[in-house]
Amino acid sequence: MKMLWSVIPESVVFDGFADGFSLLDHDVENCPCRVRVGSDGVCSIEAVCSTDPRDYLNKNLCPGRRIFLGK
Amino acid sequence: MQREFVTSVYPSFTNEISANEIGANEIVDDISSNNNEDDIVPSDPDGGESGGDGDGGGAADDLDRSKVISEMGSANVPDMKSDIHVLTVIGQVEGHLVMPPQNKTTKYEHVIPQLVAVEESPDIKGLLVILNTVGGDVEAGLAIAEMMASMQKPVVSLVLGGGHSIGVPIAVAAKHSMIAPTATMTIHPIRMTGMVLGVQQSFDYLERMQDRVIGFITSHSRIKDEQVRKFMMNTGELARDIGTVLAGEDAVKCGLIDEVGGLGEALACLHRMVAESRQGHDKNDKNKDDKNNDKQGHCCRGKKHLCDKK
Repeated sequence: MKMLWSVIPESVVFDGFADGFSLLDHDVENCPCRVRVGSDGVCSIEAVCSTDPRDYLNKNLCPGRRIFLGK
Repeated sequence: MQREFVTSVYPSFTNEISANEIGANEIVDDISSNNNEDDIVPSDPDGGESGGDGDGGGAADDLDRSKVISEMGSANVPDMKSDIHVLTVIGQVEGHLVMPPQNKTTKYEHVIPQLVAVEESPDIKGLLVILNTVGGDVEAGLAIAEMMASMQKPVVSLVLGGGHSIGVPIAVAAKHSMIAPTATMTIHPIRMTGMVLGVQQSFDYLERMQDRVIGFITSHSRIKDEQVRKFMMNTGELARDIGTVLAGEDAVKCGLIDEVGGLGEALACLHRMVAESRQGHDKNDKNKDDKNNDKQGHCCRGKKHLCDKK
């Protein structure tokens, strides 16, 4: 059950929710992050998993920033 | 059905650089570090010196800058140091579920520690929250709003475009809230999706959640409880939903938002609040020191003086 208070209909918000996507844990700039893997090989930071509040002020670690992972 | 309004004259390029050019784990948008001949590299507006405002480069610099904007979709923002931190709440407020990629989201697990960092950082004196959100997860939004409301540092919120649904508690959580004249705020009932049992308990739970939101809004703004509920249950305004859309001036008149204004007014207000809080701190520190000196003869009550740590 999801509780949403939004002007966008749920059908639009959750469109593609069941399709799934892969998340992996990866260090970015020595900070543990959760990374969303895109179909084109480009990844984006999904979440910062750090206990240091300063990491959340680092502009390079903003969610949505695109990164390339090594092979 | 979702309509999009796009008025940009520039194509929406992302600042992508191939992996071969910059290597693994490197942040993509650092265009100045990519020195290939084919790429457009913004010139240094200060001519290599720090502390300038970037205006002295002349026509060549302006040309380069406009080229970067048109080709790369990004502006060369001059370096400057500010004691104001800007937090943008955009798109959906994302809660416990990761939204599908078509949504622009503000992630509460990132915002909450960021607020802690802002409160803790000695370099940041005030927080400006800019909202253009369509709403989102109720509990995540309330968590952000509660965090903002409990901050000691001055917080000013500015609603631009829209601050709908759960954006309303976030906007009113600031010590001073502002709204642009053309911005709107929609107040409508909370929704539940997924498997919902058609029993009284489901309705009670939804009503309690709604009460929490309304309680927060009324306790952090001048609007009355009855007025919020009236706006929420209005059936004569929205075609596909019930609720009310409040434009800039209307939101101020009903007491939801403190003032109509834009970026200039919001920043001026925040700087004023920062100056006042600084004066207040100085006054309190002086009073405390005087009091302690009177009582104990020493401000640190015989212990090692804190200033000695320096």
